[in-house]
Amino acid sequence: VKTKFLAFFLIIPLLSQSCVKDEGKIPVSANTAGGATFDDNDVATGTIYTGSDPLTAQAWHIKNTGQKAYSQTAGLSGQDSKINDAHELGYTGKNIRIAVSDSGVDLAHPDLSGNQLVGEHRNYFSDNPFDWIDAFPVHQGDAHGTAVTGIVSARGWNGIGTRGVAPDSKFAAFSFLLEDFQDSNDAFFATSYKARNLDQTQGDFDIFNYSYGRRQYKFWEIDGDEMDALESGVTLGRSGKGSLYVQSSGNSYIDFISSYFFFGNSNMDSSLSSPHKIVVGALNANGVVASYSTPGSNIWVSAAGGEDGIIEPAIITTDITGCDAGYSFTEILNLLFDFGSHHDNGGCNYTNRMNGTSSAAPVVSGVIAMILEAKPTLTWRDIKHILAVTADQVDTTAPNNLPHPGLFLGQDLLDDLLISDIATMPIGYVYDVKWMTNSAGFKFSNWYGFGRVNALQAVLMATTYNSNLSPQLSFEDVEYGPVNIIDFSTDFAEIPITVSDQNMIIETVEVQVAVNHTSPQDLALHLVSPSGRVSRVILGNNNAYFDSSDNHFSALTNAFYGESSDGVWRIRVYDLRQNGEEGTLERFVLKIRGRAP
Amino acid sequence: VKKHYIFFSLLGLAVIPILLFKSTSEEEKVTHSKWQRPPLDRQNILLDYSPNKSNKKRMSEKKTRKPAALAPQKSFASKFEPHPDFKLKGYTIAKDLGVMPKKRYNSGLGELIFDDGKNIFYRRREKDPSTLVAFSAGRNKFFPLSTILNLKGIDQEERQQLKNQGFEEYHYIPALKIMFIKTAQGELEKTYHELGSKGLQVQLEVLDERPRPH
Repeated sequence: VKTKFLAFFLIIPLLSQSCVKDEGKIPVSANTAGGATFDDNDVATGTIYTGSDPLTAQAWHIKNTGQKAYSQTAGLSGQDSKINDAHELGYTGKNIRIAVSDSGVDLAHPDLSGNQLVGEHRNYFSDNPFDWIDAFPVHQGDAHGTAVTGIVSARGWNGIGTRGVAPDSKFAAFSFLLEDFQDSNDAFFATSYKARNLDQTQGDFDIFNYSYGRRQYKFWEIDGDEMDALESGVTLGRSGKGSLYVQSSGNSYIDFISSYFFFGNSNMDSSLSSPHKIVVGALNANGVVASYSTPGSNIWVSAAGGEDGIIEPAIITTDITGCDAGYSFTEILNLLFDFGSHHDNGGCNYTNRMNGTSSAAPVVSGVIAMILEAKPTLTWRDIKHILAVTADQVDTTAPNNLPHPGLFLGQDLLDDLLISDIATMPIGYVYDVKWMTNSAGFKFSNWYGFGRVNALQAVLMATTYNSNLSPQLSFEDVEYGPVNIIDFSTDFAEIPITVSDQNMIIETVEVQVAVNHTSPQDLALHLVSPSGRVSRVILGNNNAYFDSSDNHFSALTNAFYGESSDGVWRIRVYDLRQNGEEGTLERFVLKIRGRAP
Repeated sequence: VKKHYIFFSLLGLAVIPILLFKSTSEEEKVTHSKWQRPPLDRQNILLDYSPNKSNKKRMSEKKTRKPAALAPQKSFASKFEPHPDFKLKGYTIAKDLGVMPKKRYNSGLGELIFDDGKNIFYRRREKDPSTLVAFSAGRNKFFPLSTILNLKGIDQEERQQLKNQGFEEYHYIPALKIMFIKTAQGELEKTYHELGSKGLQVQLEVLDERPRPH
């Protein structure tokens, strides 16, 4: 193990050298954007463009031409969200108001300052947290918010840097997240996360972008007040048409905290299991799921998030200005681009290493801004519908069955981590599937939601979209056990609920499932719709903490969008770990939201 | 091969300090924003995968309720006396513990019970006005309580009445009718009971882990 430790340090100079060698090897490929033709090779040799955005030539999330984006390997040409095509039609999110609630934004950044909503920023970490003046990052390392904002709202065609997905949108920066750079102090005890959290859902904004979330090493309890706040936003926002809440699914596909590994699911963060949010997964430059992207049945769509920016492309975006702040401040490898040693980024105002589902969320926010520009009368549910209908199915290669992520770690490492058997499923059990097709014809995936967002098709559909969806209806019921859960078996515990005379077209389905079990992290939950389709709402053997007092799971699934509500719904609980731990399924609460046919 | 080499190198970086130093601190030392994992190739492994594949090696010992962790943890549940006046879902409020920023703590204040890396949780002496402490049994961790109290169902009229009665408003969200009341360290319990005695829905807030950048 010591060898692996040393190997990390040995590899740093190798990585740096490879980046040096890589300069000048960027392949020549055309990237047409905004009426101007760029050439990657020209960017690498420092050609200055006028009237355009030079770094956009490397922005594969805008148009993927197989760029390296200053990493070592190229992405796959054509694997993008057709954002450049929407730009060419003239959609730029003009004057759409976006709240970016994050770690604050460098409001003086030359590629951002022109798009800010002056006077509408919020700094929850000022002396008076609700007396808002600005939202500059609290610490020079708090670069995340500046990077997120650049992805959605960096100015376009201004002769510098990069271009946002919605380059004419307007943003307000909320300084909401605080990285742990500073020590604790007495003032910390006099703060209220809840006040900040509820406040940042409110206001006169079209879109709220949340590129953050709780660590998915445990099942977090639902905050009913937060759910009420979101409901208020979709009811009252945009003059009753509803604000859009976009949030990243998480980066915990395989993750660890100080003492153990876990396998995240976006339903573990109950805040993401709101029917009023659009949860976004991440793709890499090859058009398939990014290595870190947390899966979950509450994901709606996916978009570019990138990889590490060293070996494979990440996202190019704005950074806190100057070489002593932002990504260059937090730099550990002193990579050429971020650190200002590359002529395309001499002032260290940009980074090529922004990644994560944090990057995917603002891509979707930007696409929504263009949809709203195309058709301002759309409701929040119309927009979700358009995103689902127009999303592209990606990654369709066989096999469709997916393994437990522990298999990526290898058996030796699993042994070292004391989770030797975590990836071993009962014979015949399928851990997850890449894609399922529901009875309404929608293809759905826990990795991708309805697929990769398609900006071009979405704006085109919006322009011809004439009738809003009918008012939302809901139905809720509960049934009780107990039903025995068998240890390590394909035999499942099941509770059915029959829905009759509701006649709804389903939009979302929420479940609450209570178990009495000594090891609930072993359990997988499948929801079976009346059509017989299965949504894996909790993936088992996640090694997660579970400190809920009555061991209940809460989850939302989008997998049954468009199906009919009526018939028998079944929750099935499987125990996937052979450890002698058994228990009972106690309660099944089903809530369906939908509309009249 | 190179990808795997780098990945295992990073894993080594993460795991070795834990194995070597057996730190008892609960502070999370790694965040996504600073530690970026080299790409896993989810696609390649699928080629070799079949759902019926089984591993011969299995752990013989039974798992407990908690997830498998590298470092065994001593439970702190016996280190404090539960506060009889406060019930909070998912937490137990400690009657005899307090919390202090790490840089201000000294052993004269009381026995150190738990160090989260930023704050010290210690056995407080009588009349020590430090902030109250919540304990999560599932995670075996302590968290400070905020000195801000949450009041639900407060309309504008009630809000004004409370302000007139001398309660200091921290924030108010009209759409949700939630009012946040400022108190001070040492006054939290008194104000909590005072508001509760008026029949108001008053709630404590645990300063649990905040969301992080994704």
